[in-house]
Amino acid sequence: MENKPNLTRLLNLAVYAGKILLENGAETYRVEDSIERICNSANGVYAEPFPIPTGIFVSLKYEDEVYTSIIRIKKRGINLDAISKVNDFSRNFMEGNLSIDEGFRILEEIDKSKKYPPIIRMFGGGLIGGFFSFMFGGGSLEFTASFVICFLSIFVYDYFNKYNTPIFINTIVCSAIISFLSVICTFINNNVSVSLVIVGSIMPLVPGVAITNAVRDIISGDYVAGTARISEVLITASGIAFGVFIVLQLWSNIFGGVF
Amino acid sequence: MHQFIFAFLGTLGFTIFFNSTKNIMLITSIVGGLGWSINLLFANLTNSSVIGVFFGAFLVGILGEIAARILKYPVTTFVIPGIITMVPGAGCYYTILYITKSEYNTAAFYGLETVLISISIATGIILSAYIGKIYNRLKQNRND
Repeated sequence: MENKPNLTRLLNLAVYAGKILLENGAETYRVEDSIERICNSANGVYAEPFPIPTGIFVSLKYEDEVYTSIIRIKKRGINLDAISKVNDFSRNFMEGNLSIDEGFRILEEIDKSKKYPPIIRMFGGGLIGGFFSFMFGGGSLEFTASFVICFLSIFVYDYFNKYNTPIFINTIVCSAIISFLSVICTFINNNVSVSLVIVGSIMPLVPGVAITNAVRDIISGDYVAGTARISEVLITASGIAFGVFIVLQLWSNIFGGVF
Repeated sequence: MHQFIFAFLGTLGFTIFFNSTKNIMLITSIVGGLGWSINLLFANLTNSSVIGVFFGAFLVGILGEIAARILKYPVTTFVIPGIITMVPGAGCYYTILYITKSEYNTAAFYGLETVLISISIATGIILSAYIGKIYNRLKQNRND
């Protein structure tokens, strides 16, 4: 081999890309593919990545040498824009259009890129809540209530996320606020159905993507990753149910409400 | 037809919440709306929400594969917001709610339904992903 590639930097670059992907909710196989793609772009390098939702392990083999990197993933969210940008990047990098330094610059840019401004996110949340309560069979009253409640709950959710609160606490607080506001709505207008408003408004919190990804991982043979995601689903769902339950129980025992 | 519009706008909300790229928001929402409509259609025909969800997720997966090839974005960006309307979020919530109320029979009913629905969503998506892979291989063979 004439010139040996800078393997440590290549490995760091690949792991960084994998980290961004996992933190933004990519599937396990996509993380694996991207790391392999970036590492294998260098001649004679063979990579063996093992990503799970809470960390990435990668070994890089080059002739007789082995390099290893282990990192932890601490925060998880969903950001589809970042996923598609990293995906584009890994394809570009494989074709050899980019140097490693340029790669680091691009990934840092993706990592720092902002989400949509809060007001638009809150509006999106409102759309989710309103139209899901329609789909579960609500009327215009439930629509209005869920729209407003979801609008506010996204604000609280993002506020907590900014300080890296554990997802369990975050969902308990958010769902308690949602159910409290739904109960308030029945005091304003007696015809509002509390359960429809609640079911619509908790949709942004519900771990729907996680549960589907978990089953998907397990079917395709990534048992460890799948089981980790299932624990996440259980914790989030318990958090939601707990938050809702406290408020509804208080309401039905003190004010005699029915749910 | 209204159900299509509700699902369309619900999915649009999720594309914003998931920070999807602006160019593909509308397409994704159409995919989501179509998936939900097919789900309702088959659920009514077969009287089983699990089968309905399977066909809905399969359609979302296929449309996602097509859109991904035409627009050059990863399949996930279409599929994740697309399936969200069918995802058993409410079932997941009811399961835990009935467990906390100690009504275990009802909880088991909702829990099993939730598991079955998520398995059928995953199966639908995986099937369509493999069809995409086979298509890629056929195309490669023709080029060689």
